[in-house]
Amino acid sequence: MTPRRLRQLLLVIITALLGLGIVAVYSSSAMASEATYGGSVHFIVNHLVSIALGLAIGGICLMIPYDRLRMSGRWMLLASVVLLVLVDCFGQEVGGARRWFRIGRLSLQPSEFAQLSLVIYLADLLARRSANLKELWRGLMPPLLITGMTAGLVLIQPDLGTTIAMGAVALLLLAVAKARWQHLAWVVGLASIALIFLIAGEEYRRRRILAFLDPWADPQGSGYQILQSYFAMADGGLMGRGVGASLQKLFFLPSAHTDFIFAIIGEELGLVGTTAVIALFGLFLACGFRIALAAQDLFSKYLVCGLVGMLGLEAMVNMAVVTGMLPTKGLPLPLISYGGTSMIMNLIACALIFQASRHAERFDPTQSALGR
Amino acid sequence: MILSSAAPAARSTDRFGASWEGRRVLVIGLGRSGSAAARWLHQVHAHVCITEARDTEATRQAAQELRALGIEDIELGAHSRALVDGADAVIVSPGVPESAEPIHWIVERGVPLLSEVELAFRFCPSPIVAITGTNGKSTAVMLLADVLRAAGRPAIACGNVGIPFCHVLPQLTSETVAVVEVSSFQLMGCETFRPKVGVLLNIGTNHLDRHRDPAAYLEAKARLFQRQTPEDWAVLNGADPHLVALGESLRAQRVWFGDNRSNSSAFILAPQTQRALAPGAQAVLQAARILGVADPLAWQVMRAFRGLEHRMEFVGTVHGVQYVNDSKSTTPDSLLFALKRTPGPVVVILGGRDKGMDFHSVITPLHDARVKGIVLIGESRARIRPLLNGSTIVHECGSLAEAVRTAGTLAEPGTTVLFSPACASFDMFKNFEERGRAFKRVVQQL
Repeated sequence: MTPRRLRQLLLVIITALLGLGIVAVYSSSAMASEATYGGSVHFIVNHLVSIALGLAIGGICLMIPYDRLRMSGRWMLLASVVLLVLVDCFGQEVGGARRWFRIGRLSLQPSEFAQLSLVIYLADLLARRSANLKELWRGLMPPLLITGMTAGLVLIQPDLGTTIAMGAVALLLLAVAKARWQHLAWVVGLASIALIFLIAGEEYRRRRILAFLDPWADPQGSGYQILQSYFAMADGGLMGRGVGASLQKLFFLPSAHTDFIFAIIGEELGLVGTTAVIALFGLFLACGFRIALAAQDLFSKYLVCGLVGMLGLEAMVNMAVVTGMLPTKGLPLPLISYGGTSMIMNLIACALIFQASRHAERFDPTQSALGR
Repeated sequence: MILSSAAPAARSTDRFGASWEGRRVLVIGLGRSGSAAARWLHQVHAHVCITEARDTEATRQAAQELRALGIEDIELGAHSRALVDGADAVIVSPGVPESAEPIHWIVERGVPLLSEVELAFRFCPSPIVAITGTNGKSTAVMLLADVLRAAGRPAIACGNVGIPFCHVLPQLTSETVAVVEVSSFQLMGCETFRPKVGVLLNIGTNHLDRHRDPAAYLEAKARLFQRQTPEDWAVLNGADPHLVALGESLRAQRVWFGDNRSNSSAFILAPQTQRALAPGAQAVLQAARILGVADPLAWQVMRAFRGLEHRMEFVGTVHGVQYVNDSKSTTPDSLLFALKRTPGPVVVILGGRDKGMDFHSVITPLHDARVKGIVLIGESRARIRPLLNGSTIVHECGSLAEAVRTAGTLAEPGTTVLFSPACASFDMFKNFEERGRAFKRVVQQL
């Protein structure tokens, strides 16, 4: 398939996911909106505004010269580190965690921005340092330290889910950039040990793991949300109850329009609907990695890999959580869930994938300022 | 001409398409619900006759009012067999015992026997929420109606709460919601009754004088759900193993409330909600969810809800002692319920007309260290006293005023004086309302 065809297919997939998301978000949030804001449209309007903002910013990204974009990665990362420090100190506290800034109707989640910036900057760094990546101190350490610092700021919010997601994307990039596998094995090993300590050290994290292992042990406590998610999907059956007919969204299933929207899709559209979502994300991954393979320069390759990996990983983790294959983590379903910053960042990521793919067609190594 | 003939014709037809025009319907019992049923039947052009065993001033006045509307066949003071023999259908009031003579005649002749609720259901254009249970029905009905109204759904509370279901029929449309309190007696004559949402709050051993055994009582309550389909909803108390078992056999969607840590069904309440709300309020929250009212709004209304008169009604604080009027309590179960809902040290005033209830269930709770005094009044005190043998805090009083004063001297500041008689009021008062008002008057004079 030509890059042009791939882009067209990607556009269709993204449109389908967004469309499905709009329907699902409206269906699952109308009641909650009615109660809190006196009209059924509060959340869906926010959702549409986020999409519009994401498309607009994505459109601007498409117009920025590619080299400029590449150079801006470091400044974006610097800005997001500053934002993360600020949110750690002054952010709005929700449920014991400081993750958000409230700006009017929308709330801003710096960790989403940080994740995007980190991918852009790592792609740039790894492309420049690809020659000595096999050396531990000069090659591997800089990207690891930068990832560790950014992820560490997210971890103290606390937001273990996003931290793990950042680390996983960084590892993916290091692997694609052909770092020594012995080095990576050490990194994974050490990170796993740290993870075990992090989970064991916090009561609520331990409980989430226990609830994951046996939700029926405490059906009205830690297992509550995942069991209600099961019931939603079980009631949906093969064809679902029909759009808008979800019963679980009547406040039985917490986070119905955000993290657990996949369960509502399962209830309303059945196995057919959930399979379609999985298929769309599968196609998205396939298209994305084909674009990465077709890329002519290392930065484009790493950038597309990182962005596609980031979105694909989030989607897989979210669906795995909702179906009980992973412990509960507060991650939205990309391009579908309600969630302002996350939707905007997802769409910017998509725009960057397009940008990289277009660049690959025009690419001429002798003309590139960064072809050193 | 066309207009005037078309409108009443539509009203005479019930939801099953059957016309009641000209049908001979016998109403047994001329209480509130009997009168309301008779009026409605008259409006749908049925031929109504009424028979009432009591011939008192109250029934004569009710008869008078109905005669003024044009209902002629009213029999007071006796039941004549001829009326039953000529009837196409019979409406029985909840006050009429199953053992009454006309009921035997009806069963013998095979005449359809309907309760007032069943009659109203057949003509009701609104979705119905029916609430039943042993305790807390009225409060739940009023609270749910409040929540629905706050959400912009015109809701009408009716049934046992005071206004008969038949009486509110003219106000009901497809836009309104009928929130009906249904007692187990009324469910006896409910053949087709099918509420959109059926709520079963709890099962006590109350009304055992009318229901031979608890299993039969449970079965009577379960009739609420009998006609429901998977499009309807059953809201059940998951804390009661009987109801968990009952839930298995229902066709409706099951929704649960009440504390039961091992309940792993769909549609249960989150644990923090269970901790924050009393079981009755949890049931209301679940019913409101089903009818499309969002949680935050329902919570707001519940926080503002003041409660009902004579049902755990807070009267006031005198010398640091809180006085609670629970005159509605006419059974040991209600007293148990009231004790559970009263925190801290408590002085209980109980007693009244002895209906032959079994008081053994309240003896252990009354011996609890938290009970600082027991004041007995009324006819039943002679029977309750020996059951409390060995307790040094029991006092007997001849009048309610004396009882309240005695309770006041027994109660130290911080104590609650709970007036929850656990008996009927007819020995000293006309009804529980009068008894409750008398209690409040005495407290206010302290």
